[in-house]
Amino acid sequence: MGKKDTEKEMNQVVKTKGKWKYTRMGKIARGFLCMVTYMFFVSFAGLAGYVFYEFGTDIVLDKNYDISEANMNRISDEAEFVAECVRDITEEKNNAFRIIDADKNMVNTYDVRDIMNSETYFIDSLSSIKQYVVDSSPLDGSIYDEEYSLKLIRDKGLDLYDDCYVFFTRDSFKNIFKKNGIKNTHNWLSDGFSESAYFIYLDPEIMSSLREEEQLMNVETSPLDSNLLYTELADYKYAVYDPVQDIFYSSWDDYFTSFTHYIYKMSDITEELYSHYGAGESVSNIIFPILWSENYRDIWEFISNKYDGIDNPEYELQKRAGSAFVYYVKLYDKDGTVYSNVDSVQDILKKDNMNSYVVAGNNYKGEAANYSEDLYGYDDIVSTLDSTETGCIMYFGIDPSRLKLNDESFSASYVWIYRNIACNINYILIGVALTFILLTIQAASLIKTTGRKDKEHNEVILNRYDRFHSEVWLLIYLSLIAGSVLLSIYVMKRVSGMYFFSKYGYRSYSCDIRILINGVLSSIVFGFSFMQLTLSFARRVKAHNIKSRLLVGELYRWVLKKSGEQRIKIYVLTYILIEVLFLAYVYKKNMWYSPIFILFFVLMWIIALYAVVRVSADLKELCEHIDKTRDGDFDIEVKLQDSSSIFNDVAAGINHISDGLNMAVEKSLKDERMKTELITNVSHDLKTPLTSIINYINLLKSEKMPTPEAEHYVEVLDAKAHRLSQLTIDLVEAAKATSGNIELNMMPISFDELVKQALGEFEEKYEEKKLEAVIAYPDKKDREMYKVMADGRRLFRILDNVLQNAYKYSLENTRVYIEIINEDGQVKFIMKNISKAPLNISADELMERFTRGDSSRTTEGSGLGLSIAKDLTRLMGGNFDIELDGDLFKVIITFPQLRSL
Amino acid sequence: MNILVCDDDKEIVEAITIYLKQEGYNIIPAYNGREALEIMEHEEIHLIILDIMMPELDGIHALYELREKSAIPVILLSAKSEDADKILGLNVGADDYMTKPFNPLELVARVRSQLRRYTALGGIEKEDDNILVNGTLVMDRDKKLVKVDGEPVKLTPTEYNILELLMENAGKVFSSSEIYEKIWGEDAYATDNIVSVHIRRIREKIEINPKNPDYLKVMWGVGYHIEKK
Repeated sequence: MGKKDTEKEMNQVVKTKGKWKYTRMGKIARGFLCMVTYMFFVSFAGLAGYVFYEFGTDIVLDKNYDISEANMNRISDEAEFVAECVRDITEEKNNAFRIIDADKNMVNTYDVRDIMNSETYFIDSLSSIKQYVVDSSPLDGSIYDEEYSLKLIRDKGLDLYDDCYVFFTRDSFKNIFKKNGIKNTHNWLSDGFSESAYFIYLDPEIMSSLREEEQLMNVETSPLDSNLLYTELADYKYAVYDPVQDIFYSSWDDYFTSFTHYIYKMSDITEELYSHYGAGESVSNIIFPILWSENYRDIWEFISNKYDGIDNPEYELQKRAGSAFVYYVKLYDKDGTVYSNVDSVQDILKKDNMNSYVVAGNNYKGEAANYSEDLYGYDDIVSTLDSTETGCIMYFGIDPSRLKLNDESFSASYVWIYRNIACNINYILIGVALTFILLTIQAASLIKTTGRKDKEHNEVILNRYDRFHSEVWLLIYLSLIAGSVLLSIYVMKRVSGMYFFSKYGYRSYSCDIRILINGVLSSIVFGFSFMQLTLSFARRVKAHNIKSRLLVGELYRWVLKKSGEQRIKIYVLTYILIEVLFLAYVYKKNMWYSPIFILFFVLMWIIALYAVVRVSADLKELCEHIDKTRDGDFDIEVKLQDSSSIFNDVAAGINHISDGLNMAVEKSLKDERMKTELITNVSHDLKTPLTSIINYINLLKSEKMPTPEAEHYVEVLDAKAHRLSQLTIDLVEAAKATSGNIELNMMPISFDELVKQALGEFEEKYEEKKLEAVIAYPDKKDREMYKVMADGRRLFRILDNVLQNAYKYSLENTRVYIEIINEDGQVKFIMKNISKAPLNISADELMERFTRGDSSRTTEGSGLGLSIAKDLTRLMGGNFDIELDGDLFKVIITFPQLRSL
Repeated sequence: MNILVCDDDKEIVEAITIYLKQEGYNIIPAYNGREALEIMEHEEIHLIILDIMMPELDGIHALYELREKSAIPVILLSAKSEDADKILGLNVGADDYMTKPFNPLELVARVRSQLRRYTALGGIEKEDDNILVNGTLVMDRDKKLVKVDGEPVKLTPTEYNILELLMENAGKVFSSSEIYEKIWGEDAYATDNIVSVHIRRIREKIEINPKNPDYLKVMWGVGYHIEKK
C-alpha cells in the first residue's frame, strides 16, 4: 500500500511540475526571471559598450593594454578643455590667447581682455579663470610671423587698442629691425633673451592713433642701450617677454601693458568646484585653486585651509592633480617663492609630448603699473618685479609620461574604471554571452508556453491585445526599439559624461544618480514591453493570427466580400473616394477655406447624416422585431419601410427564423402532451390487473394453506405484489415530475413545521430500527427565517422519500441527524445518517433512477425515490444534493427563504 | 344491506364480493354504468361501489345521473389517482374515493362507516355545545367520551385535549407549536415533534386509514386541522 501510494504521489508531482510551466503563476514567475536576466544583460552589454567606447576594442585582446596611451587622447582633450575654459571667460570672446598643444599646433586663438575688476565671471564651474595663456614653448617663426590681434583693455574693461600687437620670435624680431633698417647694435636683443622669448611690438601707425586718443604715450627709454634703441626704435613700442628667464620688459609704461595676467576672484566658484570635483577627479582641477589675491600667498593658504590645515599646498596640488600635472609657480614676492614639482621651468616648457601652459599673472588693479620706469638690466627688471610682492607667473603642464596608473588622484575614477571594469572586459563579455544565452533560452521557453494552458492542449489562447491588427503591432514594436536605442545612447552619453569632461565642454552632460535611476526604470519598461509584444507575436504566430489580422487584409476582404452589404460598401467607398479626390484637389490648388470647399464639406456631411438616419431607422425596426421574436411572438413578420433598404436580406432572414421557431415550439408542445397521456394511460392499464392480484392474494392469505411452504409462497407473492403496486405509482410520479407536468400549489410553508409533521409519521418506524433522530428545531422567534414558498404536499412527499430512505438503509442503532438552518437567505434541510451497507457508488449514480445503495440486495422500495425527490425539488425552485462520505449519507435540500414584505 | 358493486373488471368485482359477503352484505354486481343505473331502478340499494373507467357509461356520468334521484352513499373506486380526479368525483356527488390498488380491508371499513352514517347516525342533534360532531366523529365533552362510527375510542388525556382543540375550532389550522402551547401550556421552544407523534397516534385510533385520514387532516408546512363537515 505504501509503495503504491508514493509512486502515485511521485507521478503526481512530476505531472504538476511539467504543468507548472503552463500555469499562470509559472508564466509570471518565468517572465519575471526573464526580466531580471534582461536587466543583467543590458547592464553587461552597457558596460562592455562603454568600455569599448572609452578604451577602444583593442582592450579585449591586449592584456598589457597601455592605459596611458588611451589616456593621452584624453589628456589632450583635457588640454583642449582647459583651453576652452579659458576661452569661455566671456561671452564676447574678447580675450585672446593662444594655445598650442604638444604637436605644436595652434589650437585656438582668442582675444584676451583685461577684466580684472569684473566680478566673478564664470560660465561654468570650471572656467572662471581669466587668463591668457601664452604659449611658451619654442616656436617656429612661421607661426609667429603671423599677426595676432590683441586688445588692450585698460581699467574697467574698456577696450583701448586692437590689432596693434605683433608677436615675433627673437630672430624674426631681429629681422624687423633689419627690414626697417634699424640697426641692432645691442646684443641684448639677441643675448639677453632666450630663444623662447618673444617680442611684441606696437605698430607705429597705431601708436600715433593711440597718442591721439589717449595722450598717454610716453616713449620709454630703453633701459639698456636706450639711446640707441630708443632712437632707432623711437616709434616702435615693444615689449619682450622671456618665459624662460621670467623676464618681462616693455618699452612703455605699464599703462599699456599688454602681457598681463589677470586673475580673478572666484572664491565662490572655487567652492562649487571643490564640491563637484573632489581631489583627483580630473586633471583640470589644477586650474581651480588659483585665486585672486593681492598677495598670492593667499592662494596657498586657501588651498591649505581647504584641506584641514595641511600646510603643504604643493602636496595638495600634487594630490589633486596627480602625477601628470607639473607646475612651476613663481611668486613675485620678496623671496621669489617658487612652488613646483619640477626642477626647473624647462621641465615644463621644453618637454615634448606635453601640453604646457604659462600663466603670467600680475596684480593689476587699475592703479599704476608696478613696473617702474627705470629698469636697468635684467636683474633690475626681475628685482623690480620681485619687489612688488605681487603677481606670479605660473607654468603648468600635463605630462603624460609621468602618469602612473597607481595614481590615486589622477583621474581616479578613470583608473578605477580601467582597473576594475576595463581589465575585466573578458569577464564582462562572458557575462554578456551567458546572459544572452540565458535570455534566449528563457525567451524560447516563454514563447513556447505562451498562450497555452498545458502540454496536452495545443490550442492557443489569445488575449484581447493579441487581436489588434498586425500593422499596428509592428508599428509599436519598431517604435519601442527605436525608443530604447535612443535611450541607451542618451544614458550612456550622460554616464560617460559623469566621469569625464567631454570634448565639447565642461560638464555639459552632467550626470547623477537620477540618470541612472531613469535609465534603469526605462530599461525595465522597455524590456517589459518587448517581452509582452514578442510573446503576443509568438501567440499570434501559433494561432495563425498574423495574416488574418492584417489591416490591409481586412480591408481587402471587406471590399471583395460578396454579401448583402455590397451596396453599403459601394456607397461608402465612393463617398470616401470623392472626399479624398476633392481634398487632394484643394490641397494642390491651395483652395483651403474657399467657399467651394466649405460648400462641398457641408454637402458631404448632409449626405452622411442622411445615410446614418436611414440606416438607424431600419436598424431600429429590426431590433424591435427581434425583441418580439425573442419574447415568443413568432407570428409577426418584419417589414421594412423601403423595399430597397440594405437590410432587406436581414429582415427576410429573421422572418424565416420566426417561422422555424413557431413550428418547433408547436411540435414540442405536442410531443409533451402525447408523452404524458401515454404514461397516464399505461399506468391505468397496469393498475387494474394489479388490483386483482392484490385482492386475490389477500384472499389466499385468509385461506388455510396445505403446507407451511405454501404459506411462505403466499407471503412472497403478497410482498412482490405490493412492491409492484408501489412501483407503478412511483412511475407516474417520476414521469410527471421530470416532464414538469405537475400542477403545483405553491404557498408559504413553514419548513420547520413540515419537518416536525413528517417526522411524526416516522417516529414508530425509527423506533423499530432503533434509530434515534437528533433534531435541532429553530427557536420560535426565528420561525420567519424558515418560511419557504412551495407546494406543501409535494414537499412532504420529498421529505417522506428522504426519511423513508434513511429508515430503509440506515444501520440499526445509529443516530440520524437532522437540522434546519438559514444560510444567506437559503433555508437548508440537512439530514445525515449512517448507511447499513457500504456505499460504493457516487452520489450521481445514486440519484439515477432505479439505483439503490446496495445494488445487490432486493429489499423493499423501488429506487425511484431519490430521483423523484430531486425532480420535485427542482420544480419548486429548490435544490437537492447528496453527499457521500464513507458510510455517511448526507442529504441537503435547499429552498430560498420566503421574505415577507 | 344491498351493495351494488360496479366495475368492468370481473375479477375485481368478484374479489370485492367475497370480502363484503363475509361481512354479511348482499352484493349485486354490475359491469358498466348503464347496468348499474338499470339495477338502481329495480332494486333497493343501500350503497354503491363504483368504478370510473367503464365502457358504455363511465362512473362519473353514471353518478351524475344517479344523484338526480338518490342520495345513497357512493364510494368511487378508480385507478385514476390525480387530485383532479378525486375532486371531480367528490364534486359530482361521491361520498368517498378510493384508488386502485386498494386495501380490501380498508374498503370494507369504509363501506361499514358509510352505511352506519347513512342509517344510524343521520339524526344526531348538533345543538348541544358539549357534544362535538364531525362526520361520524363524536366527542361528548361531559362524559369525556369519543366515538367513531358509533364505536368508542380510547384516548389518552393529551390525545383527547388535542382532538378537542381541533374539533372545537373545526376548519382552523393549528401549527405544532400552537397546539403545544395550548395543550401543555408552556412556550414551544425546541419541542421536537411530540405533537405530530400524538397526532399520529390519534389517527391510528380514529381513522379508517391513518395514512389517508378523513378527520385529522394535515396541511403540510402549516399545521393540523379538522375539516368542517
